[in-house]
Amino acid sequence: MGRKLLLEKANVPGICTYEVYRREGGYRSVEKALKSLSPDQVTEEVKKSGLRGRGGAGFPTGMKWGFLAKPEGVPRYLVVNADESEPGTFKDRYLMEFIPHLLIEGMITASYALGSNRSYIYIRGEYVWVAEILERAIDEARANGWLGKNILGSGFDCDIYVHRGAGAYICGEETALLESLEGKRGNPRIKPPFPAVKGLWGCPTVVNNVETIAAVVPIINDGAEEYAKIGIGKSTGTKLISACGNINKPGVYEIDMTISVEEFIYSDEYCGGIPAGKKLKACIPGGSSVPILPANLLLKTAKGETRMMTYESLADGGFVSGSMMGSGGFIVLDDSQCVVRHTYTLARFYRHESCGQCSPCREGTGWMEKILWNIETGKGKMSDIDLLWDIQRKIEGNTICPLGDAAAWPVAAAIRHFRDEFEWHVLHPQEAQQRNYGLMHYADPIHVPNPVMA
Amino acid sequence: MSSDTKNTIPTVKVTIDNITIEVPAGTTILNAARQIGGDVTPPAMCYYSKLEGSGGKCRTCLVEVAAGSAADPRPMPKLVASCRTGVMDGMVVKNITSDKVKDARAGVVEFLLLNHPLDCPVCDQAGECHLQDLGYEHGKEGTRYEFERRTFEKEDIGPYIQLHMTRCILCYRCTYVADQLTDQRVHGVLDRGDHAEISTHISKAIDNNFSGNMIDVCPVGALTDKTFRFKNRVWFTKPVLAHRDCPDCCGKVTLWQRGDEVLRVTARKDEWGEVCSYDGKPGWICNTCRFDKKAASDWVIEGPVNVNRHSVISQGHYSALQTPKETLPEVMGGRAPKLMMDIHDVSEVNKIELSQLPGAATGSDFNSPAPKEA
Amino acid sequence: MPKSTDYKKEKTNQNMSVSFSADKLKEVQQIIARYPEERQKSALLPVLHLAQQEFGGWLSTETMDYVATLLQLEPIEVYEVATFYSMYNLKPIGKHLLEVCQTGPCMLNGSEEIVAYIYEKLGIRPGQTTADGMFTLKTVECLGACGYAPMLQLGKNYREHLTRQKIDELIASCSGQSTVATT
Repeated sequence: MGRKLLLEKANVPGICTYEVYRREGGYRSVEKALKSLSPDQVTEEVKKSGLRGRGGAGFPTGMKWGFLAKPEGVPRYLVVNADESEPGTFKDRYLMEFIPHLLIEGMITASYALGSNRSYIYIRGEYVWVAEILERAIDEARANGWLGKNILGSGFDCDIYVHRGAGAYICGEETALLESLEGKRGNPRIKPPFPAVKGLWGCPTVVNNVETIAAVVPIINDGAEEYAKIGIGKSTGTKLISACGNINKPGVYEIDMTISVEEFIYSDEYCGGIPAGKKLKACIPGGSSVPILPANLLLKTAKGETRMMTYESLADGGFVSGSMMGSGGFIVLDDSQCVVRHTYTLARFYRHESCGQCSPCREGTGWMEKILWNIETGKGKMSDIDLLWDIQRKIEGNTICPLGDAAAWPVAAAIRHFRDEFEWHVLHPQEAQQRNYGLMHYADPIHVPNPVMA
Repeated sequence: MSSDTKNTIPTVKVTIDNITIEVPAGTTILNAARQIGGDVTPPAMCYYSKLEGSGGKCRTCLVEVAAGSAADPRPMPKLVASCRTGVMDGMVVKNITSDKVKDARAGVVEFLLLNHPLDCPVCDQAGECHLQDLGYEHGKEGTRYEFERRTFEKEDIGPYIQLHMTRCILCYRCTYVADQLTDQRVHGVLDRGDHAEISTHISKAIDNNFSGNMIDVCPVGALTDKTFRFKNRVWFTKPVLAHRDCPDCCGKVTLWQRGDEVLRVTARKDEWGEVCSYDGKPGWICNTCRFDKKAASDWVIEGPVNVNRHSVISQGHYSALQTPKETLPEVMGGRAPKLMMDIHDVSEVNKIELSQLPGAATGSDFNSPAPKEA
Repeated sequence: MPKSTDYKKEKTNQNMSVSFSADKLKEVQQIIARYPEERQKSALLPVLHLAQQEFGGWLSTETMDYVATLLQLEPIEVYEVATFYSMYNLKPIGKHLLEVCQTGPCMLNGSEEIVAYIYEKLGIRPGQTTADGMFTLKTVECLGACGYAPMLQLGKNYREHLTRQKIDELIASCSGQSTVATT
């Protein structure tokens, strides 16, 4: 049984109300921070904890906070990124829906560390009821003196507002999010300048994921050293994984980054295995943007080592034989699923969500979608597979924001690992329209050559 | 910006394609490269130095930064948009010396042309179109796109400007013109992704005395001059410099004439296709000058425009002239021309000096041996 | 994929005056107050949500112009934003909007069958509205409920772990609420 820091109390009845949350020890971190720590000490604690951004990129949070410019007389802002839209990811929703006060508590402490007197939660527009839950929680916190002027007599003022988006995946990119928060189209900005220098309304801004900010609470409560003890190496603390696809128990799990991928998929504590007696075919371990892995490479690295649910282990082998932890959206495909069709839906998603600002992404995503549709429906050519590879290669790295990469990687990885499945679609156009293709050799053990003795 | 820093801007050294120059700190890579000129300058489809906030979108000006600065000589992990990346002291940039850049740029050209209608034969911009130039210089032959091209509903935006959305590459320049030159912006970028379009949403006429400058900044034929529409091909017209005393604008223009008839009036453009500056101010022109002053007598004519010899517009302007005395590098700012193929290496025929032949050359001219050098 | 520009033909809300009630105007002021002074443009997204909710479930040009006046913006700034985000409807929709998620994880769990079943039940394909104006079907991209797939959004709420039976119930309950008789 792994240790839980965020979801430990998620099942306590009434935890979404202030009374229960407070009774269960809520808001201790705010008391501790405001009464006994300076803002810089809070930042220092977060640095020491080794906490990495939980939104997808895994950037060290403390370092990000350290970059925040602090010019005299200019307000600074904390914006929480709750625009959770990456296919496969639904962890932040769970956190906000069940323990909204945890986010509010983390935000107050983080705002104190960053000197933000006005902090925003940018939540995706579709989460209407979650926004209402948060607003209720903010009202309760304000009524009990945790928000407003001179909190706990510390002289620190802070208020939190919820801002609902209106349906745009791109607004999960931090500068597009800021544009959207300013009431504009969600076009990502060209960096530099980075938000830490020029963010919301031109002021220094930190944008953090919901889970990242929630993790500040246990870090301050238990101390950075305690937090850093959990996990392995640079993957400290716990991580929320939202598991979905073809598994028995889809849902949000908090893991302490010491378990293997195999255990995560098959143990009853987590995903509970693959339903209907089917076999594991492939998995996208960190949200739709990260590379898909066939079962054999998922469970073991190319070196033959057991793959663990950590940032480092999931990335072992780079993009050739590894993937990424990403946002923790764990999508499992069983042996009846078609990788081409799945990749097509992702390509459609990215085409739909491209902001259209820069040319490789605007034009390339739609092109890939059309070619994938042709292949999926038996109208593809062998050369289309190479063409797809070339298109994704020309999008990747050449766009303003990471959406280009996010659109390119799933296609690249699908071709890299499942090329025979694409070819099968081309060679069997009739059959491809009638049934999904399910080759099972993806689960065969991989051959690891013995090292040559010198 | 405080004015006291104006005189003390330090300079930094930057190396672009092995050519080192010194530029004021804060200069972008693209503008530094423009100071060198020639092939070293990356193409720019969306950046426009006179429009604040422009650039970064088209990705044609991507370059490789092989060393970030003297202090931190690490290379940058990705190609960067040279129009929006400032130079650092000791930065080493690779443009045409980088295969990565050439490959990525060919990709961008392909993306830009993917849904472009390629209706150059009926497009008024043909001959002065930056997308044509870009495709010619940096693109690959043929297209690999086999799907129906995107089309848009036609929209009327008033009596002066013709909007052809299918040709648009979404550089956003015209929106910056509306924001920065006119008092009210009525058009913008609507919708998103591959459906994004320039539109007023309500077919409103764009009516402002400086709105015509959108035509000048448009790199393609998406915004063209309705008063010139289908009147002539630019390479049949004679561009001359002219001015008039205008109460609203600088009054310095290029007249595009055929005989004595003024077919079109535009702002004067520099070698990068941007409007020229006068006394540090961009020479935007007003709609009165552009659309209403269509008689030669409205203008004081200064003389012919110096047309770049690479431009198709120069066609017909060098007939019966003697061979220019300057050598090519002199014309090109000291740099040797980029030759696709040296025709003298492959053909005896090309030893013939065409300008010496009376009348048009015929097959028989090429069958006779090359004339001896005098 | 053809571009749908039909919305341009629909310009006004018929028989509906586009103007917030005093209560709603107060709410608009509260929204504006969430942002620092002079930053009322930030209120654009929430105010558009409110306007859509108040004026028939979609944003007509008239509605957008009204919002522009309220927030002292140029109308084009509102059009630009309204057309960018997928939650704003730019043409009239049915009384109940069924937004079925069709991205990867939902597809793995049978979202395509759900769309097909809705067609079987109501005779509408994505983008269409039933003749009686009761239901509009829309396919949308990932709504962040991948673990509860297949799912759809109906108004404020998510309907998750969909089955044929659940669709039956849902359609029945929506039809029951209405005053229009359905056969």
